[in-house]
Amino acid sequence: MIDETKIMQYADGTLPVEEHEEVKKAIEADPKLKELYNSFQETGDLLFKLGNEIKSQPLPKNLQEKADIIKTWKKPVTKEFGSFNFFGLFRIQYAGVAAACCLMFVAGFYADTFISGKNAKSGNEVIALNQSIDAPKDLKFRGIPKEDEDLSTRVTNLYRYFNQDQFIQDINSTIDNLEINEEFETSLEDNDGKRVKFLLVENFNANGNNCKKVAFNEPLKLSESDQGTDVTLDICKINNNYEISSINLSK
Amino acid sequence: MTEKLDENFVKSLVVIALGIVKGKSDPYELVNGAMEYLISNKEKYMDHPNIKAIAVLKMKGLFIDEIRKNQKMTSMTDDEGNDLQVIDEKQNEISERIGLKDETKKVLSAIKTMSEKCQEILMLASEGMSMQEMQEVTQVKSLGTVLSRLSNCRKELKGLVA
Repeated sequence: MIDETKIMQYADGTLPVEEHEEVKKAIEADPKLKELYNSFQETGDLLFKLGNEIKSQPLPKNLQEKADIIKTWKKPVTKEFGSFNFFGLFRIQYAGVAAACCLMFVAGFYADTFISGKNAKSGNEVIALNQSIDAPKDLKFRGIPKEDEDLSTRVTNLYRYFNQDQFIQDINSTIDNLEINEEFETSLEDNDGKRVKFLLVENFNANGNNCKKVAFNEPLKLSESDQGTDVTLDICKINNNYEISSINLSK
Repeated sequence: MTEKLDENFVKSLVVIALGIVKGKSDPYELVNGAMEYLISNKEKYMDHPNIKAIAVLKMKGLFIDEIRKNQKMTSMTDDEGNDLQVIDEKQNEISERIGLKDETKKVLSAIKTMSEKCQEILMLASEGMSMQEMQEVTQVKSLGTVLSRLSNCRKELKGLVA
């Protein structure tokens, strides 16, 4: 018997990957669970909209003044922790890039911590990343502060800079030797020429495949307004080679 | 990650405050009180790893204080001996002041009819908190309790807005 909270977590995209298959099968096999799953998706959307709408309201003057005061307490996260600037390169490349590029994802995108991308029907998602992404109906980008916020820009900029094939090539022979929380580098550099560092976060099993969660060791600046996006990659070993199965963005 | 302190931080507190006030107080006043507290205790909290949790707990404390004060006020009765509800009108004004769309207003109104625990957890979820953050803020011992509470409250919400 599947716990209802698992259905909720699955609908929100917060269920651990290794539990997806079991929950997915249960939902497919039981109309009541399917209904519950749909219900959780609906309330997830409602709550998401509610939070965003409240946050989109301007603050009263007295609170705005206090917000201005606390802003001075700390340097922005992007500076305090350092960040990889992926934004400048985008601006340079943007005018010159004309060819369409398509990228395949096994599990789609996950946005933010509360609610995330919906499973693709076919198990694969194809997204033209040189275009602004109007989130398809079956691929939800939830967890965005405002509906018009620049998730598509951030995703686009990430992939204009991040060469997935090069990354896999760089890590394929070494990642199995890494310990959890061990830092490592690839050939990837940010727009300022700073070598990008990654962190091995965890090992896990998904659908019988050995997978690893890898995090960019510092927040990424992926757009003009981006104050720092945390990005993690789930990579799984399939036929002795690692492949990226999902990219997770959270602010 | 360390909380980024800016306008969005304050707006997050407004969302959470709406779950704390339970329709009985001004969420902006609660946030203002918490912000004043943080600012006046800058040295103590500016490097705190979870300053949002501090702010939320302060808002809860302020709300309890306000309720206590208002209980004294509402001990006044009308001609028929009923307690005077001296703060409900103020709450209506707040709903309008926030200027939500009708659909969202309906959701917020539905949440306000629910139990205090549901109001709190649903607004925390609405703010985008992770389960761990919700556990910290609600001070519930088990993560499983947070999960089941959120699950039950969302099912109830679905019934209310259907």
